[in-house]
Amino acid sequence: MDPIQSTVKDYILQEFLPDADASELTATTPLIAGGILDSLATVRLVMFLEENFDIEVQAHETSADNLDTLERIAGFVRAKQAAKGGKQAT
Amino acid sequence: MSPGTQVIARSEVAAARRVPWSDAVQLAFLGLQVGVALLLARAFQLEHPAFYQVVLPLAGGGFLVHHWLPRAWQKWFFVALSLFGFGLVFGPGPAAWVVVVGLALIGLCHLPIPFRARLALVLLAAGALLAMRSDWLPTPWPGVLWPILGSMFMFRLAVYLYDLRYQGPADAPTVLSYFFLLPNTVFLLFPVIDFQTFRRTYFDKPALGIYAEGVRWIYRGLLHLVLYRLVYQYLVLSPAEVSSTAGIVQYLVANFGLYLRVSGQFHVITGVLHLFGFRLPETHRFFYLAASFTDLWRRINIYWKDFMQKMVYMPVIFSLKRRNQTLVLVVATLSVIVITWFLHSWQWFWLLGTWLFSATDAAFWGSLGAFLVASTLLEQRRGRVRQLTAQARAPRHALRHALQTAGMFSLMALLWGLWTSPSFDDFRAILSAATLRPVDVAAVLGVVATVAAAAWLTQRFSFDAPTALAERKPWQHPLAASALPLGLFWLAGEPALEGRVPATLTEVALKARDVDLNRFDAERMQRGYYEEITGVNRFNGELWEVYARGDQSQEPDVTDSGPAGFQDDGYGNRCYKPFLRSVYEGGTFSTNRWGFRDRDYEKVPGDATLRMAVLGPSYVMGAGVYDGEPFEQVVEDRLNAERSPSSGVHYELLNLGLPRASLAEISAIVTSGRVAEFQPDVVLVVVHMNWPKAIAADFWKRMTDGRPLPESLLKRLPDVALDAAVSETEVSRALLPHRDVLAQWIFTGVADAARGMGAVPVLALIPLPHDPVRFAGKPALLDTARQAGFVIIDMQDVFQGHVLDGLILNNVDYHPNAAGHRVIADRLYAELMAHAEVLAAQR
Repeated sequence: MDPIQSTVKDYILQEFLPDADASELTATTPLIAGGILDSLATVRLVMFLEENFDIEVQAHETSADNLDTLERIAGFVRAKQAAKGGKQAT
Repeated sequence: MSPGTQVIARSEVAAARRVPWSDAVQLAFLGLQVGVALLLARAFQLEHPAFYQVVLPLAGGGFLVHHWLPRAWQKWFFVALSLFGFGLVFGPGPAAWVVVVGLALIGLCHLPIPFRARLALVLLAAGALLAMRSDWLPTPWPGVLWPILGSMFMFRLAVYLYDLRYQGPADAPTVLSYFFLLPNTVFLLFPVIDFQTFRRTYFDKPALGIYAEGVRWIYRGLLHLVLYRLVYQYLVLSPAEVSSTAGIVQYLVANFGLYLRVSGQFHVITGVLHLFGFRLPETHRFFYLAASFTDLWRRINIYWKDFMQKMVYMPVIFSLKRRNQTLVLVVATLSVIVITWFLHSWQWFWLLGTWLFSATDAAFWGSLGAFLVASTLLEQRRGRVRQLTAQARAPRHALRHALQTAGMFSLMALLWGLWTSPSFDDFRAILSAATLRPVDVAAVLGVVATVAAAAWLTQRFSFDAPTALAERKPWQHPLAASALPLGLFWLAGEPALEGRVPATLTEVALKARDVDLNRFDAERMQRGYYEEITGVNRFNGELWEVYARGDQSQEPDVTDSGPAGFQDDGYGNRCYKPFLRSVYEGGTFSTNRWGFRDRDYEKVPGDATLRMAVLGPSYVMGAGVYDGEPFEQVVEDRLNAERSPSSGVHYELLNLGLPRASLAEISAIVTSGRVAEFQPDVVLVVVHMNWPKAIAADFWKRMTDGRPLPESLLKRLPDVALDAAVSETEVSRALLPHRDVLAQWIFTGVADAARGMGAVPVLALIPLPHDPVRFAGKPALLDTARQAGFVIIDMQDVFQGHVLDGLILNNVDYHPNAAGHRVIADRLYAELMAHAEVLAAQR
């Protein structure tokens, strides 16, 4: 599991699933479709991502396309960081 | 969609396609299951006939073909199938209009101009359509298409524009599939499907698994729709019928239960879409077992929750995210509720053509908003229990959850009852019927215990886990969990098994196949002629859909010309103004010099003339039919043509029928001297079995107009405090227990007055075409009339054996049409021939 996934996983386990077995939360566990990330939790997760990975998330980016699994979250964070890096470079 | 997901989805699909023989067998089995679902839908006649005659057969056959097509052709095939379905249901012309309007709206979203300009153009087009729907502008397509266009575009276009802006354009077949969905041909209430989800989930799992999920949802939908039918036919009470706490419980639970229709439809719709690869998420999940308002919001109409989260909640949160978090949550939640409230009315505007704002509506959404904010803040503080897998809960947790769920269900049923009540006064009248008897306590505890037990079981055995986490057990296969019980239930109603199945079960099974409006709604269809369309409540009953599917461009009703068409008859009664004349569609409505809707007569009958004064409500007057077509004129013509030559008597039937005339008003007309003026030999009073409610409506109108109620009646009912009533419901409930006193007062008064003018009093019991044949109160009513001295003509079965839909004006007005009047006239003529004492009544 890559570092971003691992960090987000720890956060989700600590904040939303304190009693869960950590091994059951895999890179492809459905977080939104599975009812773990509801609207409140999504907002908190987004704030965590913004603070920890130095990115800025827009309202329209809070969809299952980007946030439904650890794998997608990590991909989304990397894409945002890359875009930000690209902008700064230019 | 992330690149990783695409790789997984494609590899899974490819793997699923490598085993053709296994695929073929599984596909055939799925096809068989869709076939059984079709048979069940047809057997129970679920929803609109086009559902089981067009949509399910097309879906069942179409998905088998669709599966074997190259992927690039599949969406095009689905679009073609949907358009073919539109053509079959509406005919090629109207279907072409749907396509033209749809393509025009989609086209505006893709014009090569800046997004804001496109948005402005779409809003302009929506404004023009709104003006057309409001009849401010002419509409070139049939009115019946409005609800279809509304259900296709009123929300989906907004979601599409949003995703177009942030996700970029999609290919043409995806866009056309999204808007032209096959189930849209029959379902007017449609889930707000998210375009992004629609794209992302398309064949993102192995095809056969998606189809199997779709079949499961279709069956779950059918189960909900059959349960809804039973609730609708058996449990629904009118507010006036609520007379105890047990009645209140039944009223509230039944009203809340009617939502099963929406969940049933949504399951069927998304299930059908699964058959074509659209693996959409679940739409509802055990919503009656929500334990809090936030829980309910996540379980009931999940697509709406997602729509609001995407379009309102998240944008509000993000625009205020640097502010106080609690304040932001409150503002975002309230914004969602306010906009949901407005959009409900927006939805009903497109479906029915009228806005649906009311005080009870505002109170419902206001209360829901307050509870939802409180629930959100509580959850923010305490957190909520989440789980990664479908796990059984500990007994203690399950028990606490069960008690919370029972409380939530009770509160929600109460709020729902408020929402679906016509007014606060009606709702207050319902609650004021509360009593405290053992049966009342048992009713309350029974409902609470049933909900709690269901909640406990789902928690203990983890039945209500989200679909994404659920593990299916063999007994949960749709053939075992839905098809088998539905099939057995259908068999229980089969005549071949009569005697082998308990009679009660047979009756219930037959009721589940009953496609007619229930007793309460059928009654309202008689009143619907003059009732405001806003009286048709949201999910309450099926009337809204009857109105929505009715052709809104009917000719205006010229036979009920409203208050301006009436005047005082000189005795304090209402009568038509003399010499009214309207011409419409080649026919006429006219009144004579005496102010009744009939040909002209001399005031005093000539020699050798038998004159009957015929009194009754709208269908006696001839609502909706042309001059010469009301049954009394048909009978008069026939008597003069067939009987006069042998009897040497001329027959005159004077039509003193008036719209909305109650028996109390008829009694006032007869006893006032108005009828005696015309020296009738027979006073024929026409009555239907809903007469007590007509009196309640009449009295309530008198009370609101400040006109006095009949003193002689009030003296007979010293314990009935009509003055304290604040709604028609309360008047009705106060009068219903005293219907015998009412009938005696009316019949005695009319019979005495008739005899006083030298006439024979005759009571004809004539129903409207859709009225039931059997009524428990009929013998008592006829006995009272007989004892008062009336000759009785019982025609309650006059329409038996006829195709009823051919005898009513249209599907939004159940009054008899010309053919219906002829059926009444034929029977009344025969009855008069059989009652020599009536035809011998000539002075």
